[in-house]
Amino acid sequence: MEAAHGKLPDFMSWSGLEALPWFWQPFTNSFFAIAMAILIPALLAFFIGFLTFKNRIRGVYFSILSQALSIIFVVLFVGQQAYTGGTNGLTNYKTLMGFALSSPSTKLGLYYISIVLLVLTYTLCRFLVNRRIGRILVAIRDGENRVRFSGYNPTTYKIFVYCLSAALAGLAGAIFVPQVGIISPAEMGIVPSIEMIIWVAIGGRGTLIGAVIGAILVNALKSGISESFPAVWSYFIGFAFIFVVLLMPNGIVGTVRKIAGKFGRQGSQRVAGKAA
Amino acid sequence: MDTYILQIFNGISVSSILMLAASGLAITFGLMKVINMAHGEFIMIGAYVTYLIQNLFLAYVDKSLFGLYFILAIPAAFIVSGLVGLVLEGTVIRFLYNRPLDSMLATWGVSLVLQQLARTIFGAPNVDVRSPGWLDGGLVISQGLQLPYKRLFIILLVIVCIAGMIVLLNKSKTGRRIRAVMQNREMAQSMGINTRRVDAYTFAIGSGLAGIAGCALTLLGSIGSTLGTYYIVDTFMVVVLGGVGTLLGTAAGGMLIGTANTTLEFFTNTSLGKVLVFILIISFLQWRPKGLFNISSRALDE
Repeated sequence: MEAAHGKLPDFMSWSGLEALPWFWQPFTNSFFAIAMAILIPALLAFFIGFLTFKNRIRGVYFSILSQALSIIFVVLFVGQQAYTGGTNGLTNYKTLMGFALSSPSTKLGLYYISIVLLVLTYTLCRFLVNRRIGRILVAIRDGENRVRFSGYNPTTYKIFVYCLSAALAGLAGAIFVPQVGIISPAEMGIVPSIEMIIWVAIGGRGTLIGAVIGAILVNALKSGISESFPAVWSYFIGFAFIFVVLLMPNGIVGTVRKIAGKFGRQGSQRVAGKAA
Repeated sequence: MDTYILQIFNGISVSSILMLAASGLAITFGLMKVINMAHGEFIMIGAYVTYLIQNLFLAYVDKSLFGLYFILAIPAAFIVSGLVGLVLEGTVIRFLYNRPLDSMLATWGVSLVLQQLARTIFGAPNVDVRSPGWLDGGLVISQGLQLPYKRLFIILLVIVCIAGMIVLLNKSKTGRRIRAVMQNREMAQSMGINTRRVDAYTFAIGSGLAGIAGCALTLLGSIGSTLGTYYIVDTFMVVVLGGVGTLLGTAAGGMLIGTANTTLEFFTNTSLGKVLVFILIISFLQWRPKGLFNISSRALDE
């Protein structure tokens, strides 16, 4: 809203809209916008998750379904150019709540806010994992039917996790945009979604710190390599996918833990025992 | 009236390509429980093979025989894609059986590599394949209605391929082995079937079919490295909708999605049409999560 300085944003006027559509109006208040950035993805996830998990769509079909959904959204957002800016996306961000975005102090401020949010999120997830709900989630991963037979309803937990991850993703998106300056429907597509999966896969799935490590590592490499050799990046990330899935299924953190396990006190006894 | 017939015809034409591309995927997934995200790239390989054969003919063969290049290109696309599929299976897929999610990631990596390879070899811009002269024009039905020969040929090609597959699967020893492994892998192994070999050549056949689909696609437009990504999602939708492991399911799914796509695009605009089709698919999946026709066992999957 601030980008338009109180007038109609460009893409709306050149698409023929006369006045700001009613559903954009409340977003002029920054706090409402931020709250919505977290709530709307969560609500969407609730709706979709409910329909999906209630019907026990699992595994493969679930993945294909979510890909289809991301395409639907991309197509929808690109098609409705009047409301969303089409393929060009939303850009022209100059100020955030009155702070000029191009000034170094704002950039630094946003950077620190991102780090604080990361720590908070990590703490929240750690907290959840250590309580009963975390154990139930692990149980669902290991044997969903057994959890169901034990009397829990896995659907509720799955919907909860889905909504939580959607809310966190929404938060991340809200912080992402002022720092990058543009958001386009391509970011909603399959490719970025799969890239995020690969961050977790490389870092170590099933571990929280792995997700953080994976994301930082892959993106650092991406910036470094694709600036110098763009073609190499595709080869590199492709082979990285294959390599990690085949040889390091537990990612970096998992492999480190496995190696560390061999060196620990019990570990060396185990190794010695095997050799003997 | 004419526009309706034309629309229905277009729908059938689009469905036929989807069916061809999806049958390989359905069989691979039904057999090995492996999701091959690189399937689109096999389509791309088939299309590029056609392009290469066209260039060979332009350089070495007499002008009057140019039209024949396409006849040669179809088996060539099948063979090349099949070989690449065989290599892929032996190096990567083999380790990923029964791990659909991992195979999805790994084959996505493969698809990235293959796309970049295509860009390096052929260049990033799209290339055009000149269709052979005997496919120009169309079948004139009435005053305003002309069914293009190209699309008719594609429909014919798909019918021949699918008929061939049905014969292979149901009437031959090879097909019986494939079906056995698909239904119960351990039992088939106990009966003495070499499941490794069955997996290898089934994957090769599936990839080869995708290659033929790519060859057919050269008639419809220019080809580039992103050809695969364009078709992969629709292909997966066909497999998910039709049910895994049966050709009948793939055919039904392809038909439904193809016609739904063209009809809804006709009534609304392109983007909204695609969205509506996907919404229909998702709603359908609420009712039957495993697709239209699927071979399901009574075992409770963990």
